Amino acid sequence: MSVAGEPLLVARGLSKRFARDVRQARAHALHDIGRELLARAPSGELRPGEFWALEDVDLEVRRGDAVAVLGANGAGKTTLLRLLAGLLKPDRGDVRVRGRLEAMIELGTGIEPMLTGRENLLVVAAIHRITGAAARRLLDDVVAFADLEEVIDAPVQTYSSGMRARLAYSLSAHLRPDVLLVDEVLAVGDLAFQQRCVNHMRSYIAEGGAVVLVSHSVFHVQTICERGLLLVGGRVAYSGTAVGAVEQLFEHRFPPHQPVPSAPKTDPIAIEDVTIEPVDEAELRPERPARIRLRYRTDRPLDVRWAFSIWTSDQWVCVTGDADPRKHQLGPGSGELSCTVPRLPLLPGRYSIRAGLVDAQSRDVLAHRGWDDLPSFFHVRGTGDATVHVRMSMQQLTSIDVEWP
Amino acid sequence: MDETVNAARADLSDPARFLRDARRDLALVPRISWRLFRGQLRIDYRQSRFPHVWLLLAAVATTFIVVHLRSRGVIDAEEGPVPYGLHVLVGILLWQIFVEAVNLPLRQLTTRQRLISHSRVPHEALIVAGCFELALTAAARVVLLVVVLAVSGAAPTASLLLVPLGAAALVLLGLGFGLLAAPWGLLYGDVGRGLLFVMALWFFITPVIYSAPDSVLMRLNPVTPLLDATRSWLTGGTSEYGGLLAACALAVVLVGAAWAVLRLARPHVVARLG
Repeated sequence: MSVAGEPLLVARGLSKRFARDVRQARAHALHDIGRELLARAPSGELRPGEFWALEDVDLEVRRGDAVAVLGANGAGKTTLLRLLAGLLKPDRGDVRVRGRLEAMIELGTGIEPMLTGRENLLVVAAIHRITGAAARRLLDDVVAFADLEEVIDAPVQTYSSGMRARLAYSLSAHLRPDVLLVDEVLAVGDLAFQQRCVNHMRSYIAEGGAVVLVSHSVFHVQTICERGLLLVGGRVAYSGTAVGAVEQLFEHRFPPHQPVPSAPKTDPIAIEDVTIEPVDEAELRPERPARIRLRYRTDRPLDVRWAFSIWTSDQWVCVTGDADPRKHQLGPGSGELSCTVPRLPLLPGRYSIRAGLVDAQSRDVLAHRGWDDLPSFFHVRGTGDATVHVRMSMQQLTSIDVEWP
Repeated sequence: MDETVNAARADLSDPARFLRDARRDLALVPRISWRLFRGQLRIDYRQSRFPHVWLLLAAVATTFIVVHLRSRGVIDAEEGPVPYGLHVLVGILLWQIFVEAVNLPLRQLTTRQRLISHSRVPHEALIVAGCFELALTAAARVVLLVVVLAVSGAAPTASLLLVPLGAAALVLLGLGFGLLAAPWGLLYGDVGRGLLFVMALWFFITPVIYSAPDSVLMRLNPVTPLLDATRSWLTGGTSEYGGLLAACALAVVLVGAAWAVLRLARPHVVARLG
């Protein structure tokens, strides 16, 4: 976690209440405006039909910081960004911002289809308080970045949706404020453009900018951010590293797997647990043997095959896996299937393991573990080998056998 | 480095900060609104084949109808210093300027709802951009009126120079009422519909198609002195300055107060726009 640099944004005890019922919400708005006109502060209590969309959130962002805000839909991420941007007024707490802040909360806000790309850029730049010679200078950079030189003088209504998104993103990306709030707008354009966006964002941070990024893309979060904040039901469930926030997100997203007392009547078989453990050692280590066990429970005889896969702890990358080529005849009751990995090809780190059972003949999936529910997590410990550390710093995940000449 | 604070407190609890923030936003308004206005002008031009026709068509058509009704004795209006048709045409065009000013704030904020709920653009910039549009159409109408007057044989007088001031006062008064309605209109559609209804009634207590009779309603109606004076500056009639100054003062106070209400209501309204 970066502590260097001056604090540019400080939020303390930030809370915002909403009502889902539109009529009720508007009635509360009248009440709020009335209090505002009478110079009375918000009551800070919930009124009929209201809930806390965001409650007691603290956040500090310094120069050079990149903070990811994670959470399921409706967790309060966009509300947090709109409060930080000054679009909404908190019902409790406050936000202090030093310097210029810009928010990319909805891509394409202010873009008019009847205007050309160039005209739109000038209008949107003005909305972001950039006018005159500064806007014209910005225009050239934006057009080049968006790769839209050939169509920039055509009306935006003739653009493809990807081109529109590139136009809108490119302008926002070039505003270069002290603090940039980004809400789920990095995943625009093709892969090459997305890569360009990510690189651009990283260079902005390296040059002293600060970013608060709301994203569902684990890749973007881990590539851009060092710090992470997980919101669950409007409250901070985790604050720490971006990697930690991603792991916590998955633990919240997938409910822990409950031991299955007996196979549900509709399912022929249930996987009770999948584990990976060392053989003849206390802890899993790179290139040492490991045993994988799958415990099941069934109420009928079945012919099955099974497979496992090992994933990064953020569930983003499947590192490796294998399927048992043999058929297993299972009888009613509980049992265990297992295999041995003679040389675990993983570098030190936290991983997860998933497994599945398929019908031996039809290959229909009978049961799986780790897709709709929480997978089993495990640690591979380091050996103190300096070469391993170098490979880890290069974000390598596996080791392979190599014969050097 | 500037510090901005967004806190759970009433903005009026610290009036100095309220005014400082307002001044900072207002400083941005001319450049943003000018750019928005130019963009809107291009859109309007590209979407219309005969943009100038619509400036006068409604007023001319209404004038013909009113003159026809008077000739049939349906409307009982006395002939004034200028031909009755000209009197009506001038009145309707000036009334249109006032009505468009009343509708302007709510129309501007409603059509740009996504923009105001997702960006920090000062709302005043959207309204001023609309004012530029209104000023353009009002100026075009006044110029056309002067041409019509010249063609009809009316001798131009020095009072013509005061017409832009009269039109500006009508815009200011309309804006005052429009700004007052805007925050509530963003929350409830009833306000927009109610505004249409009120303007229709208001038309009949304003001397648009007839000369002002001496009634309490007419005297209390702030549009009456503004419309009468501006029309007299155009057509060479006489005007009463006491009511005119009072209406101007009311317009200024109304715009200031309504702007403050809109600004205070803004975050609460935006929160409910989604």
